[in-house]
Amino acid sequence: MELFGQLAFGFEQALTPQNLLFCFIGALIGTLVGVLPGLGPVATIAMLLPITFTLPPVAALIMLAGLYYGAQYGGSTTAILVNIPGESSSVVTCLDGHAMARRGRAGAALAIAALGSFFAGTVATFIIAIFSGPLVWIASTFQSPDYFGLMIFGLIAAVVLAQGSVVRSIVMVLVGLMLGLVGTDITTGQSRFTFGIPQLSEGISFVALAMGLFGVGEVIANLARTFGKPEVQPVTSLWPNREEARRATPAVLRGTVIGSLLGVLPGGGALIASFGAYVIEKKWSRRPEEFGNGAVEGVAAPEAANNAGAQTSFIPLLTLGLPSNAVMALMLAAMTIHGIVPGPKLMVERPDLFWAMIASMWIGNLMLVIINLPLIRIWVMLLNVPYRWLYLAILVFCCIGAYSVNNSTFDVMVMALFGVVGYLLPKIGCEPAPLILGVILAPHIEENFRRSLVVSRGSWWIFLERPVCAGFLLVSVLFMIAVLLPAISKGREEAFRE
Amino acid sequence: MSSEGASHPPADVGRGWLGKADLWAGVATVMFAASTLYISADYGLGRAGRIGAGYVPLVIGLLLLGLGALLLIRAGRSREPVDTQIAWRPLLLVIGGIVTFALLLDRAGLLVAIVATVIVAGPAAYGNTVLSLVISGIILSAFSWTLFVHFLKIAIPVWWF
Repeated sequence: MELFGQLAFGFEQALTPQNLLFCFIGALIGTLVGVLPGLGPVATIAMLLPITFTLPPVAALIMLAGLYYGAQYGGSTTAILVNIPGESSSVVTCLDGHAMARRGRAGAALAIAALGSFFAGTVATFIIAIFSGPLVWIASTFQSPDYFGLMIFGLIAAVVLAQGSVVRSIVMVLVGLMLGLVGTDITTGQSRFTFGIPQLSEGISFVALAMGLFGVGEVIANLARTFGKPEVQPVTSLWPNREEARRATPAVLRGTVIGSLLGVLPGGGALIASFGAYVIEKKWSRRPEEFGNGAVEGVAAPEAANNAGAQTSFIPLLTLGLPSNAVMALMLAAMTIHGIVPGPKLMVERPDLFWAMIASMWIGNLMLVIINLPLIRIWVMLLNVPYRWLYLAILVFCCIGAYSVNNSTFDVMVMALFGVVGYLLPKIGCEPAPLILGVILAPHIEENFRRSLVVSRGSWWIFLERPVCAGFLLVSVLFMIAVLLPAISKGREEAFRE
Repeated sequence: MSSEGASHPPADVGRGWLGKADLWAGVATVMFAASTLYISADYGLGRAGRIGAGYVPLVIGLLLLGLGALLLIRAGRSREPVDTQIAWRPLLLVIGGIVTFALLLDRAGLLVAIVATVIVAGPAAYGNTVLSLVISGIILSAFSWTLFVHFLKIAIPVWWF
């Protein structure tokens, strides 16, 4: 029952009026931006990061987590009502959610999505609380080579499980690792890739880079498409009928399980969780022909799964210090700005922060239900704001955000440069997400690599002599072989096409 | 990073070997790898047990060079086409708007910088008129000042003095 004691302690920390307020603001702004099409959670969090600068760390993290879930949930609203995925993990919600809305069941679809997400979030909160302890205990036995192996495994798995060409994704990871080395080398004091520019001596600003790649790049790509006025489906009754509720309940349960599992994997998180849950629902359903035409299960399962996955993807970050996807990489950057180092020491040294954050995840989920369902008409109104005004606001906030991290206009220029890169990369078939992971992990990988070689006096054998590290590296190699085998890579392509 | 930006495919490539995503990704990768290897050549590799600043860049650079070569080779039988449609107008105007912000912020302050950014980046979308942009710029300035300067107290120059 230690678990409940710890959770209660967390709630005690999180339930101050100030933290509740910031949790509420975070969820509200997150939903607001999430509802707007064409701005994913990474760009949203990066853009709104400066809002948290002046807050105490606990409040800041609670607000950021609220932003993340809010952005996630807002995306589903847009998917259901307009058939535009507000962000990538609600792509599948478009299929059946929008079909339901067309049949006049928009309210029911929204309610199922909200309540399913809330249920999944509650379960995921407990999963994080239960598994963090043992994981922290295991991680506390890790030494430098083991961390090196873990991070390599994390990067490889993230590449293999994500969409797109594996070779090009590994290239992106390596480019990211190289970019992450820019600045002064801590050990030798030597400047690397700084071109004599003093602003680069502390490295490329991660927030500017993320905003450029994801925010500015997306804005340019969106402007290149022509936007018609979105056709918003009307919302009538918010209550699902008996039949819908009966069909949604088991789907939510399955979605929660699948989402929680897939969320923990590197490269996982909300996107892969919602896809996985949808595919499995469709395969197992007795009525597969209904999928795509407004099957209740096709909304309930992926929505539950993406919320569960969004939450359990915090597990590797909080316990191992390993960000498993681009959003978590940004969370890691945000924590670093607030002077918090996630990893096994966090739970021991800052239990207040650790448990408060877990408790706030649940509070954030509750708030989302409260915010979303009654305020649905306001979100609908927001959808009618034309993109030609919206992107100007996005650009201005990105500029202010990039500037305010280091009070440097140089960082705004960096954002502009990576905006170009972020727009061009998809044109040559490259995804920016693995690059972000490389950038944030580069200093950690180099440090652990260096320490390992100090211990082994320069011999690479140390990575195979430590069983934990050897295990991670072996699994990484197996992953690579598996994905390069023609039979499996074909299956992987099919899984993503669904 | 500059090599990524510089090596985008020209608009006139056809469907043949030149039209493959892998080819251009490979060219960009090889150029990026070669330039980083060149720059980091004199960073020092250190000695056994105490690696220098150039050790990890060398390892990553060589891996990138190898993968870049692999992409170039497999481009021959790849079927994935490169996307040569580059929306120059949004690209240049949006980037121009951001650069305007960066150049003006320290010299003219936040409010002027925002209005200028909006006016530069505004024509990227069809339907924005000069008048509507000036008005949006002023509204965005007022909103940003209220949120970031008044409430959040972020250190940012507001005026030119």
